[in-house]
Amino acid sequence: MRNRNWNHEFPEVPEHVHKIVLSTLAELEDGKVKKVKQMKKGKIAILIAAIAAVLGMTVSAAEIFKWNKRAAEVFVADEAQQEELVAEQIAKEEYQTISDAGLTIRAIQTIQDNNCFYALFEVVAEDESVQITEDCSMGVLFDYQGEEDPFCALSWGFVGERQQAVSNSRYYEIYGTKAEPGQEDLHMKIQFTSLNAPGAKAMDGEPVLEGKWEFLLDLHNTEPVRYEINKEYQIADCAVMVKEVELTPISVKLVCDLEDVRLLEEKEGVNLEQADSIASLFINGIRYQDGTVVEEEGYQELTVSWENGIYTKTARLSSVIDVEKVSALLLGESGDEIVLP
Amino acid sequence: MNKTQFTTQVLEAEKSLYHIAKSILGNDEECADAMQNAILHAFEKLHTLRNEKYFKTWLTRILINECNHIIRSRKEQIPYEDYYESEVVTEQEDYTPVYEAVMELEENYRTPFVLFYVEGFSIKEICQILELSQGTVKTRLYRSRKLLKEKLAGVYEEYEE
Repeated sequence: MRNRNWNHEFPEVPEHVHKIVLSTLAELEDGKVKKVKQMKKGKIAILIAAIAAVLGMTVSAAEIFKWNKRAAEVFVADEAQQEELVAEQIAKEEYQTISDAGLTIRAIQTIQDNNCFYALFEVVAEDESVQITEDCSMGVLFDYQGEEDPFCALSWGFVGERQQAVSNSRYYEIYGTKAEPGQEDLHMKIQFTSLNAPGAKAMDGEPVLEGKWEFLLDLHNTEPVRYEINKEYQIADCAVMVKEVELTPISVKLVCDLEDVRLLEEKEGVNLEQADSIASLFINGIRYQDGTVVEEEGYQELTVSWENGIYTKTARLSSVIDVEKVSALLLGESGDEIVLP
Repeated sequence: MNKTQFTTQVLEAEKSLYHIAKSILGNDEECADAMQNAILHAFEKLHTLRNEKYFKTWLTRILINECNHIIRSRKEQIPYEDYYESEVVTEQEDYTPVYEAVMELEENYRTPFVLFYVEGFSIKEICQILELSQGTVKTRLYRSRKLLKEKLAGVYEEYEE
């Protein structure tokens, strides 16, 4: 069937389409890349409308994208890990840039798995006298196109002054914690409505610029590496049945027997019902098969749940890990090991 | 890759881009929009292309996303089949029975079919472009072949086997 010349069955490029291609290329030659709004009437507000060019799946695809430097810093990923995450469709480069009211917002990159979500934007004011600081805020609305909100927590804001000098542009980040079970293949509409001046006491200030900047990002899950453990471990000198561990390059899920976890709760004098954390179950590091230990810097617990006799927690890892080479999780200050089969 | 090389490669891919856009959108005006935007975005993002040998795959992915955006933007959402039929009447072009049969396939089957049989992309490249697993692409190609043979049974004997 492939031997047939199917190409001849399809129409030739019409002359008027060809002319548009030529004129577009000519604009490039003239260095007028952003002439879309003049060439396309009725789309004045949009310089470059939503394109989510997402390549992934294979190692060859992973060679195509370069991570944004800020995203690489947030996830502490070296170049090989960056490529790996693109190949696994955990990291995606976004191609959406929208200009309105003198403000251009660019969706740069998303990174996500079953447990967490991260989106990086860049906000640039055309007027260079507009200074965007970390205390500025954006009016923002989220919509899941009729589907249930997949997040149990969502936070957003401009990056700090430590990471970026104050100017008329600044990175803007959205962090999400996905609820269990994460839904597959959702579209998340993010509509920015204003750039706000710094407000008092962490409140949004008065709008500096108002407009409509709308982005559509994909939400999806990734298949974690799942270990059935079902083995008792000594954690903080208590016998705790560890049932299951799930790993992705950016997060971990730990499932234990709730009755055993209650012993730790009592020992530490904390109360799960009052949202206390159990320090001896903090995932403070991982050990690789070659003995190398990677310590967690800034433990980031995502979710904790307990029901039907099962205690489950998820956490985002402070640096990208090589899942296939992990031999153990290290829990608590004493580094109690949960050995992976 | 400089501007001249970019221009050359886009022109080399032009027919392929048009066929793909046409298979998704159905009408020439939107095809031109999608191609224009894809070229602009690709040029703007050229620095993110790590390996030039993937240029066509990369540009095709951008084009398909732009086509999908146009579909989402259509003010009145109508089934593709209805939309396609109205466009065929409007444009009044002489399409071959094979082309019309391909265009009657559901979009899930049509795009992989066009990429593989019409434009000669490999299974691996289609996986990258459509973000699908190899199994899914192969299944869709198998089903599209089967559907086309049924549709074209009375037109071309070669599909009757």
